[in-house]
Amino acid sequence: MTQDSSNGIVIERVFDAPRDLVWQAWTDPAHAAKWWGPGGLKTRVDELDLRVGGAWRYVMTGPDGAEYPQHGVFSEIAPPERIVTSAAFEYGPGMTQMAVMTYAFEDLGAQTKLIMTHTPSEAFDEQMIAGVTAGWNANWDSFVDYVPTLVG
Amino acid sequence: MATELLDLTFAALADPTRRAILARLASGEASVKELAEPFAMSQPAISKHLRVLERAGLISRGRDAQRRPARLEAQSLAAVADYIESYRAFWEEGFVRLAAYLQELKKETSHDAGQ
Repeated sequence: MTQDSSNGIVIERVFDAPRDLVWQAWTDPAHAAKWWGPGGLKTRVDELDLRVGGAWRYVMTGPDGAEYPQHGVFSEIAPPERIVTSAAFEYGPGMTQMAVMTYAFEDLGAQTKLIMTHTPSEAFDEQMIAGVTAGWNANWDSFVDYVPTLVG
Repeated sequence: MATELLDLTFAALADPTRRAILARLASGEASVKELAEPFAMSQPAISKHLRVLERAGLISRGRDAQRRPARLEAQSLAAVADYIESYRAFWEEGFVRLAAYLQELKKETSHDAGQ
Protein backbone atom coordinates (compact mmCIF):
# COMPACT_ATOMS: atom_id res chain seq x y z
CA MET A 1 0.00 0.00 0.00
CA THR A 2 1.34 3.38 -0.91
CA GLN A 3 -1.30 5.59 0.64
CA ASP A 4 -1.18 6.92 4.17
CA SER A 5 -2.84 3.77 5.46
CA SER A 6 0.62 2.63 6.52
CA ASN A 7 0.37 5.21 9.31
CA GLY A 8 -1.38 4.71 12.61
CA ILE A 9 -3.39 1.67 13.67
CA VAL A 10 -4.57 0.18 10.40
CA ILE A 11 -7.57 -2.14 10.12
CA GLU A 12 -8.65 -3.40 6.75
CA ARG A 13 -11.35 -5.78 5.70
CA VAL A 14 -12.94 -6.87 2.45
CA PHE A 15 -16.73 -6.73 2.57
CA ASP A 16 -18.90 -8.88 0.36
CA ALA A 17 -20.92 -5.91 -0.88
CA PRO A 18 -20.54 -3.23 -3.57
CA ARG A 19 -18.94 0.04 -2.56
CA ASP A 20 -22.11 2.14 -2.74
CA LEU A 21 -23.78 -0.13 -0.22
CA VAL A 22 -20.81 -0.06 2.17
CA TRP A 23 -20.70 3.72 1.88
CA GLN A 24 -24.43 3.86 2.61
CA ALA A 25 -24.08 1.58 5.64
CA TRP A 26 -21.35 3.84 6.98
CA THR A 27 -22.95 7.22 6.27
CA ASP A 28 -26.66 6.68 6.88
CA PRO A 29 -27.45 7.27 10.59
CA ALA A 30 -30.11 4.54 10.65
CA HIS A 31 -27.59 2.03 9.33
CA ALA A 32 -24.64 3.22 11.39
CA ALA A 33 -26.48 2.67 14.67
CA LYS A 34 -26.95 -1.00 13.72
CA TRP A 35 -23.29 -1.99 13.54
CA TRP A 36 -21.11 0.66 15.20
CA GLY A 37 -18.85 -0.49 18.01
CA PRO A 38 -18.43 -3.83 19.71
CA GLY A 39 -21.37 -6.19 20.22
CA GLY A 40 -23.10 -5.87 23.59
CA LEU A 41 -23.16 -2.09 23.40
CA LYS A 42 -26.07 -0.14 21.94
CA THR A 43 -25.20 2.81 19.75
CA ARG A 44 -27.36 5.88 19.32
CA VAL A 45 -26.52 8.28 16.50
CA ASP A 46 -27.24 11.81 17.75
CA GLU A 47 -25.69 13.55 14.77
CA LEU A 48 -24.12 12.60 11.47
CA ASP A 49 -23.68 15.70 9.37
CA LEU A 50 -21.78 14.36 6.41
CA ARG A 51 -19.95 17.37 5.02
CA VAL A 52 -16.61 19.05 5.58
CA GLY A 53 -16.87 20.83 8.91
CA GLY A 54 -19.96 18.78 9.82
CA ALA A 55 -20.13 17.07 13.20
CA TRP A 56 -20.96 13.52 14.20
CA ARG A 57 -21.84 12.23 17.62
CA TYR A 58 -22.48 8.61 18.56
CA VAL A 59 -23.32 7.49 22.06
CA MET A 60 -22.63 3.91 23.03
CA THR A 61 -24.52 2.53 26.02
CA GLY A 62 -23.17 -0.34 28.07
CA PRO A 63 -25.28 -3.08 29.72
CA ASP A 64 -25.10 -1.09 32.98
CA GLY A 65 -26.50 2.03 31.30
CA ALA A 66 -23.17 3.86 31.27
CA GLU A 67 -22.82 6.09 28.25
CA TYR A 68 -19.66 6.44 26.17
CA PRO A 69 -19.94 9.34 23.75
CA GLN A 70 -17.78 9.59 20.67
CA HIS A 71 -17.76 12.64 18.47
CA GLY A 72 -15.79 14.52 15.89
CA VAL A 73 -15.78 16.82 12.90
CA PHE A 74 -15.32 15.72 9.30
CA SER A 75 -12.37 17.28 7.48
CA GLU A 76 -12.69 15.38 4.21
CA ILE A 77 -15.65 13.73 2.49
CA ALA A 78 -15.18 12.20 -0.95
CA PRO A 79 -18.18 9.96 -1.76
CA PRO A 80 -17.94 7.04 -2.06
CA GLU A 81 -14.20 6.82 -1.53
CA ARG A 82 -12.86 8.54 1.50
CA ILE A 83 -13.72 10.04 4.87
CA VAL A 84 -11.34 11.84 7.21
CA THR A 85 -12.52 12.99 10.62
CA SER A 86 -11.34 13.94 14.04
CA ALA A 87 -12.60 11.67 16.80
CA ALA A 88 -12.87 12.08 20.55
CA PHE A 89 -13.58 8.99 22.65
CA GLU A 90 -14.98 9.80 26.09
CA TYR A 91 -14.48 7.15 28.73
CA GLY A 92 -15.28 9.30 31.75
CA PRO A 93 -14.49 12.65 33.32
CA GLY A 94 -11.05 13.74 32.14
CA MET A 95 -10.61 10.53 30.21
CA THR A 96 -11.03 11.57 26.61
CA GLN A 97 -8.76 10.18 23.93
CA MET A 98 -8.47 11.93 20.60
CA ALA A 99 -7.55 10.63 17.21
CA VAL A 100 -7.67 11.30 13.50
CA MET A 101 -9.61 8.65 11.59
CA THR A 102 -9.28 7.92 7.90
CA TYR A 103 -11.61 5.56 6.05
CA ALA A 104 -10.76 4.55 2.49
CA PHE A 105 -13.38 2.60 0.51
CA GLU A 106 -11.80 0.65 -2.36
CA ASP A 107 -14.03 -0.57 -5.17
CA LEU A 108 -13.43 -4.27 -5.90
CA GLY A 109 -16.56 -4.76 -8.01
CA ALA A 110 -18.93 -6.97 -6.04
CA GLN A 111 -16.72 -6.47 -3.01
CA THR A 112 -15.31 -3.48 -1.18
CA LYS A 113 -12.12 -3.11 0.77
CA LEU A 114 -12.38 -0.72 3.70
CA ILE A 115 -9.11 0.55 5.12
CA MET A 116 -9.34 2.39 8.40
CA THR A 117 -6.52 4.28 10.04
CA HIS A 118 -6.61 5.47 13.63
CA THR A 119 -3.90 7.94 14.58
CA PRO A 120 -3.89 9.28 18.13
CA SER A 121 -3.61 13.04 18.05
CA GLU A 122 -4.50 16.33 19.62
CA ALA A 123 -4.70 17.72 16.11
CA PHE A 124 -8.19 18.77 15.19
CA ASP A 125 -8.00 21.24 12.37
CA GLU A 126 -7.38 20.18 8.80
CA GLN A 127 -3.94 21.64 8.49
CA MET A 128 -2.80 19.83 11.59
CA ILE A 129 -4.33 16.59 10.35
CA ALA A 130 -2.40 16.89 7.08
CA GLY A 131 0.80 17.47 9.03
CA VAL A 132 0.18 14.48 11.28
CA THR A 133 -0.60 12.20 8.37
CA ALA A 134 2.46 13.27 6.42
CA GLY A 135 4.80 13.17 9.39
CA TRP A 136 4.13 9.67 10.66
CA ASN A 137 5.98 6.87 9.03
CA ALA A 138 5.77 3.97 11.42
CA ASN A 139 3.41 1.05 11.14
CA TRP A 140 1.87 0.69 14.58
CA ASP A 141 0.38 -2.69 13.90
CA SER A 142 3.76 -4.26 13.44
CA PHE A 143 4.88 -2.23 16.42
CA VAL A 144 2.44 -4.13 18.64
CA ASP A 145 4.21 -7.34 17.69
CA TYR A 146 7.52 -5.62 18.23
CA VAL A 147 6.84 -4.32 21.74
CA PRO A 148 7.00 -7.68 23.55
CA THR A 149 10.47 -8.23 22.12
CA LEU A 150 11.52 -4.94 23.70
CA VAL A 151 9.78 -5.44 27.01
CA GLY A 152 11.12 -8.96 27.20
CA MET B 1 -2.79 7.24 29.24
CA ALA B 2 -3.42 10.92 28.51
CA THR B 3 -3.67 11.85 24.85
CA GLU B 4 -1.01 14.50 25.18
CA LEU B 5 1.58 12.03 26.43
CA LEU B 6 0.40 9.44 23.93
CA ASP B 7 0.90 11.99 21.19
CA LEU B 8 4.48 12.55 22.35
CA THR B 9 5.02 8.82 22.63
CA PHE B 10 3.78 8.04 19.13
CA ALA B 11 5.80 10.91 17.68
CA ALA B 12 8.87 9.66 19.52
CA LEU B 13 8.35 6.16 18.16
CA ALA B 14 7.86 7.35 14.58
CA ASP B 15 11.61 7.62 14.10
CA PRO B 16 13.53 4.46 13.14
CA THR B 17 16.70 5.54 14.95
CA ARG B 18 14.77 6.05 18.16
CA ARG B 19 13.14 2.64 17.81
CA ALA B 20 16.59 1.14 17.31
CA ILE B 21 17.83 2.94 20.43
CA LEU B 22 14.93 1.42 22.40
CA ALA B 23 15.78 -2.01 21.02
CA ARG B 24 19.37 -1.54 22.17
CA LEU B 25 18.24 -0.39 25.63
CA ALA B 26 16.04 -3.47 25.95
CA SER B 27 19.23 -5.43 26.54
CA GLY B 28 20.42 -3.04 29.26
CA GLU B 29 21.16 0.59 30.06
CA ALA B 30 23.76 2.47 28.02
CA SER B 31 25.50 5.84 28.01
CA VAL B 32 25.34 8.32 25.15
CA LYS B 33 28.87 7.31 24.17
CA GLU B 34 27.96 3.63 24.12
CA LEU B 35 24.88 4.34 22.01
CA ALA B 36 26.72 6.61 19.56
CA GLU B 37 29.17 3.90 18.46
CA PRO B 38 26.88 1.27 16.90
CA PHE B 39 24.63 3.92 15.36
CA ALA B 40 27.52 5.80 13.74
CA MET B 41 26.02 9.05 14.99
CA SER B 42 27.50 11.96 16.88
CA GLN B 43 26.93 12.08 20.62
CA PRO B 44 24.92 15.34 20.34
CA ALA B 45 22.65 13.67 17.78
CA ILE B 46 22.11 10.70 20.10
CA SER B 47 21.48 13.07 23.01
CA LYS B 48 18.79 14.81 21.00
CA HIS B 49 17.02 11.51 20.32
CA LEU B 50 17.31 10.58 24.00
CA ARG B 51 15.66 13.86 25.02
CA VAL B 52 12.70 13.08 22.76
CA LEU B 53 12.41 9.58 24.19
CA GLU B 54 12.72 10.87 27.76
CA ARG B 55 10.04 13.52 27.27
CA ALA B 56 7.73 10.78 25.97
CA GLY B 57 8.39 8.73 29.10
CA LEU B 58 9.92 5.90 27.11
CA ILE B 59 13.32 6.09 28.81
CA SER B 60 14.80 7.58 31.96
CA ARG B 61 18.32 8.87 32.55
CA GLY B 62 20.55 7.84 35.45
CA ARG B 63 21.84 10.34 38.01
CA ASP B 64 25.50 9.61 37.43
CA ALA B 65 26.60 13.05 36.16
CA GLN B 66 29.30 11.59 33.97
CA ARG B 67 27.50 8.73 32.21
CA ARG B 68 23.81 9.53 32.71
CA PRO B 69 22.95 6.06 31.41
CA ALA B 70 19.65 5.74 29.53
CA ARG B 71 17.31 2.95 30.47
CA LEU B 72 14.11 1.66 28.94
CA GLU B 73 10.82 2.45 30.70
CA ALA B 74 8.99 -0.71 29.74
CA GLN B 75 5.71 0.44 31.33
CA SER B 76 5.34 3.30 28.87
CA LEU B 77 5.89 0.96 25.96
CA ALA B 78 3.36 -1.45 27.37
CA ALA B 79 0.84 1.42 27.72
CA VAL B 80 1.25 2.24 24.03
CA ALA B 81 0.81 -1.40 23.10
CA ASP B 82 -2.35 -1.56 25.27
CA TYR B 83 -3.76 1.52 23.56
CA ILE B 84 -3.16 0.05 20.12
CA GLU B 85 -4.60 -3.32 21.08
CA SER B 86 -7.76 -1.88 22.65
CA TYR B 87 -8.60 0.28 19.63
CA ARG B 88 -7.69 -2.46 17.19
CA ALA B 89 -10.13 -4.77 18.98
CA PHE B 90 -12.79 -2.03 19.03
CA TRP B 91 -12.62 -1.37 15.29
CA GLU B 92 -12.26 -5.00 14.31
CA GLU B 93 -15.41 -5.90 16.23
CA GLY B 94 -17.24 -3.06 14.51
CA PHE B 95 -16.08 -4.33 11.13
CA VAL B 96 -17.29 -7.85 11.92
CA ARG B 97 -20.72 -6.41 12.76
CA LEU B 98 -20.68 -4.25 9.62
CA ALA B 99 -19.97 -7.33 7.50
CA ALA B 100 -22.96 -9.15 9.02
CA TYR B 101 -25.17 -6.08 8.65
CA LEU B 102 -24.24 -5.70 4.98
CA GLN B 103 -25.42 -9.24 4.36
CA GLU B 104 -28.82 -8.27 5.82
CA LEU B 105 -28.92 -5.12 3.70
CA LYS B 106 -28.13 -7.09 0.57
CA LYS B 107 -30.96 -9.54 1.30
CA GLU B 108 -33.40 -6.68 1.85
CA THR B 109 -32.28 -4.99 -1.34
CA SER B 110 -32.72 -8.10 -3.47
CA HIS B 111 -36.08 -8.79 -1.75
CA ASP B 112 -37.28 -5.27 -2.61
CA ALA B 113 -36.10 -5.68 -6.20
CA GLY B 114 -38.08 -8.92 -6.50
CA GLN B 115 -41.39 -7.32 -5.60
